[in-house]
Amino acid sequence: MPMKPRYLILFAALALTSCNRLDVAGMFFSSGTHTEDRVAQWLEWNDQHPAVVITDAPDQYNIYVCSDIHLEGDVSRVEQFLRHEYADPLGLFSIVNGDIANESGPRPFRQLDSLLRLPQAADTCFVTIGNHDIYFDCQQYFQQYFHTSTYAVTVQTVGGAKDLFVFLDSGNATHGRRQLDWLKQLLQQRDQYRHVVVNTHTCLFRTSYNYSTTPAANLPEEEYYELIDLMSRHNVSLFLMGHFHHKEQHLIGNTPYVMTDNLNEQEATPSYLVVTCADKVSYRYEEL
Amino acid sequence: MKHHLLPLLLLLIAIPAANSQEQPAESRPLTLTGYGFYDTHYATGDNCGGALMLDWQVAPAFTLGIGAEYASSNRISARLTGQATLLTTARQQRLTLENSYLWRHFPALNLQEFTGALQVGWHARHIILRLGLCNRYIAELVQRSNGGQGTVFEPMNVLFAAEGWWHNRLLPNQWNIGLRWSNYNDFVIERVANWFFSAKALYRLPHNTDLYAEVGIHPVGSLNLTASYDGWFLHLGAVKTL
Repeated sequence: MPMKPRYLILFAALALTSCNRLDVAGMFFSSGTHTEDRVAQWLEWNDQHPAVVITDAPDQYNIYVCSDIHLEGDVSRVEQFLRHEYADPLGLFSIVNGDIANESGPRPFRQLDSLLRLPQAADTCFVTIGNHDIYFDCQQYFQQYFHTSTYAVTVQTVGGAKDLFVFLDSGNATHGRRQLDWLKQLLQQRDQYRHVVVNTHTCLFRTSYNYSTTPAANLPEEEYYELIDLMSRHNVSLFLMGHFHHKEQHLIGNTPYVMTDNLNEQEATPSYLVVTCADKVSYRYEEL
Repeated sequence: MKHHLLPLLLLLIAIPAANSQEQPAESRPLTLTGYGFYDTHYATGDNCGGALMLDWQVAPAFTLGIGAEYASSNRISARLTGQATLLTTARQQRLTLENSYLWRHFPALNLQEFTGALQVGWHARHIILRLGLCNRYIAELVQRSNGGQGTVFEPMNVLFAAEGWWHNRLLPNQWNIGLRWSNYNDFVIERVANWFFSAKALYRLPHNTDLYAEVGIHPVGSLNLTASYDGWFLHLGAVKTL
């Protein structure tokens, strides 16, 4: 006699739980650390370490941005991405905008950390945390290897310009009050910078439904509008997101909102973003 | 045909179909609902305000509703709803088609949100189930009028609601309590993974008036591997049937 569908669903959910691929409870309730607690940890780490300042950058430079790398053994595409950045004479650093992991345990974080130590990919890489990086208490491994996900990096160019790159934690589909307050305070100094680029993992918009956007979450409405308002009021040059595994661009106010595709191994045409910071900020997608 | 015109077309089909039906069991010629609310948001703070809604049964099986909400953050919302009863069973269960249009204005950046939604509903004695889709435009109108971009179109967001009541809703009860799970409420339609869980209560007063209360929580990021608490809300008001 065939098994009833509900038993099949229950069995599948339990099987996924037992092999540490799916945190069923965490899909309905907060599991692991809460956004607010995690941000407190990130800010505490920031207080104990000097902020990153990159000096003597050229007046025009490139940043390579990808997201959703979901490491599961084969790291060739991420390595290729890092090599491309390193080989670019204008390449300054790279960004991995969340979802390093696709499974529980330290392996994906260790793999990315090892890649960043390769001589052929030796430029700095900045990382944010994604929703896949915090389930099954994985944030401890993120913290072990990358230390913080709420921080800012300043780039000083030889011509005297200063650019600010902000990195946020939206792993729980919210940034939390503490982090938004931190961001607001940081953006008060907007006038000191030529460009401000904000990075977060969770996408603001839900413009399509496919295998990766369903049921992945967006921010709650009130936060979403507050964030857009904040970006516009402070004339943020670029807002970068990941999460939904496809390319997307919008312009609201003077701020472009750009979503990066994934570098997932199963994806047929993975791509990344090359952001050029000069007098203006421009960007282009590059396929691997 | 563009798919965002579909709700309007279906409503036009539904109105004559609804008029051909018998008088539905829940006959409420004119219903006025008013409530004050308080809601908290984890990241962005608190809101309080009020809402007023009027439902008018313009035909035996067609109800038109209008409503407006004002929040202390200067957020203004308004909605227009048409609900057609397509089928009434012998046990007074109803199959409905509901078409709503929601406009919200956020003081932040003068952003306007326009949502058109179409839902199928099943209204039984103790249970109400609704499932539908909505299309949404998010527009920065000042920028649009200056020739720039500033519009985001979000098509085919799923909306759903499941509501259960202790007493038979179709009978006159001194009191009733219920539970609701959905991704929308009267003036907010969240994306599909941001839910509302609430408990509702009605208490009958003289002159066809019910006291109304609803208290709920709002988690975000459900089904996203790691959900998070976002806030809670309280609605307190009255429902007057004329």
